[in-house]
Amino acid sequence: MKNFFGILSKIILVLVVAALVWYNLPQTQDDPFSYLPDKALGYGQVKVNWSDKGPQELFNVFWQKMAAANPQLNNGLARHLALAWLPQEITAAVLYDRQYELRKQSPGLVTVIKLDKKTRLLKLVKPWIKVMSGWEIENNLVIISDQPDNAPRIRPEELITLKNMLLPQRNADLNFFFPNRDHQLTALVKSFEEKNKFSLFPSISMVDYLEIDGKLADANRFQGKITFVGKHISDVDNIGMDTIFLNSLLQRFLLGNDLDYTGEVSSLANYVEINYRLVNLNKIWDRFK
Amino acid sequence: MRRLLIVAMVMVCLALPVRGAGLAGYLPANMDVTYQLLHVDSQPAWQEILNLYRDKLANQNDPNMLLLSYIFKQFKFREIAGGYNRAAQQNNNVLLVQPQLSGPGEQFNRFLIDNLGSFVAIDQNWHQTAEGEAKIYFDIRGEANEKLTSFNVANDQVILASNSALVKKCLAAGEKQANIESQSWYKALRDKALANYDGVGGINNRNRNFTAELKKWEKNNNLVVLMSSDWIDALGLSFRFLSDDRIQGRLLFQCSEPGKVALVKSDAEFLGEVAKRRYSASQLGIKSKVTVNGNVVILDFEAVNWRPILEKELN
Repeated sequence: MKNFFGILSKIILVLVVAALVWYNLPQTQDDPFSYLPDKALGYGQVKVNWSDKGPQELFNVFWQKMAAANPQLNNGLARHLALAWLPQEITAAVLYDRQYELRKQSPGLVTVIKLDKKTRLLKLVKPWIKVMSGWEIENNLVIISDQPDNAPRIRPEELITLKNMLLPQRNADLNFFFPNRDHQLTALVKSFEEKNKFSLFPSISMVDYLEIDGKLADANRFQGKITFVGKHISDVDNIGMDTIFLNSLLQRFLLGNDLDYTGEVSSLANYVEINYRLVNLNKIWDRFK
Repeated sequence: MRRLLIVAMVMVCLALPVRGAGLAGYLPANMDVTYQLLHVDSQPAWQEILNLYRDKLANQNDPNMLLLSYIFKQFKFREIAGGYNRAAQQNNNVLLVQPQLSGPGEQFNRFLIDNLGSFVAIDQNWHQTAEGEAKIYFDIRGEANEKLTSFNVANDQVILASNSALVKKCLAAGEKQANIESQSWYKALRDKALANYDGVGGINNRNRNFTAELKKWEKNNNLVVLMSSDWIDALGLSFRFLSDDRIQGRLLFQCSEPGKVALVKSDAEFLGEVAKRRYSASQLGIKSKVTVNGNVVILDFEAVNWRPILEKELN
């Protein structure tokens, strides 16, 4: 009997060591961008450092809410585990096509979550999880997509442009890039205008690309820039007028949703920029129970 | 059916020839919202609008609205005015009309007015009361709601109101006792209205009733239209027809605090832009300009090809 427990404890020890070694083995790092689809309406990246002041405060707000509803979460280990599993980087692409609309489907979405070594554990449990169809694990990435497997991936030359647009904004927590080269952005805005019989942004066809970034300063404040880049310098006046109206509409819409928004519009060369600031975000967080 | 017939006859009396002062003088001082349409018989655009409005009324399954539609179809008016006051408990709604001095059916109308008492007597719900020499007819079933169920037909005006007490107030206002023209908010808006207007309207917001109603709408629609509504004392609209398809208008915002004029101005500019963008796809050309005069923000606009839009809106 004594021998049996001795052998069992050794086996367990070997298994634990093997698991730790396996878990800590270097993992092939895939580039999240390479999984994004070609000719998307927009690409986005959320790159959060959870030890920064803003994200940390936000996490605390939500954790307190969850712990209030589920007292078993009210301990340090659960909090530590939850924080460890939060993705630090999510890259996503939204596909828009009039065909989606005609088929009354929502636009396509591809999301790539970077979890590093934790993807190994996910691989183990995946066969038992049936509800999340459409997701795959490739090395350090979890890819969630509603696109067919053979859908074209982003072209190498576009990949370079995209990385140039998104990566320099490392200081931002959130970054979106909407190239308008294939006129998807124009098509989306025109479709909205037709549906609502309202000229929201008639100069959209003059826009080469749109970029949005933002950073969570603290749990209550979010600020950043919305930049419309014109194809030509001569387009800036028209884009500027539409941007001023959009800024005013945004302010009124957000105020109607209890959010204080201020935005200042400026222009230089071929781009028009809104420097925005959203305060009292706690009113949004309060809605989550 | 009998009630319908009686009200129909009463409504027909709207076409009575009248003479006297402008109808706004008969609006009681406590009206929150007022409007006045001038040159209705001489301005072809008015006839067209009233015809469109008539068709809209005719499509509603409401006997009162059907009768108003009939009146607009059969008779021409020189002037129309109206107003309402939303008191806490009761809706006060009034419509005044000044029919053409001469026109089709004049003799028939005279016959009706001479025999009005005997017509209303055939239904027990219709009552008759007197204010001095003026007879007021009213339907007791309609005294508490905002439908026009009380009326007075005198020599120079026809008053339709939602209750008999309000008809009395209109008659008193006509005698220059506390009428709307004595109110400072109304005078201020009229002073800055467009010259030679064909139509004018105003909202008294010193009690912030309009602000409260607007905020309810804004909450339901998650959109703040007027960020400055807490600092607006009164709103006015005046317009005139320049030609068959051109209209010139002026929207006035009377601000309560000098420090908030800039905010009111940004609201006026936003409204001008919304109108331009709302109709740009439908060939309606709108040009607008915002200026400030003291505490009053003025939104001047000119619209071309407005008829198809109005037709669409009223349908």
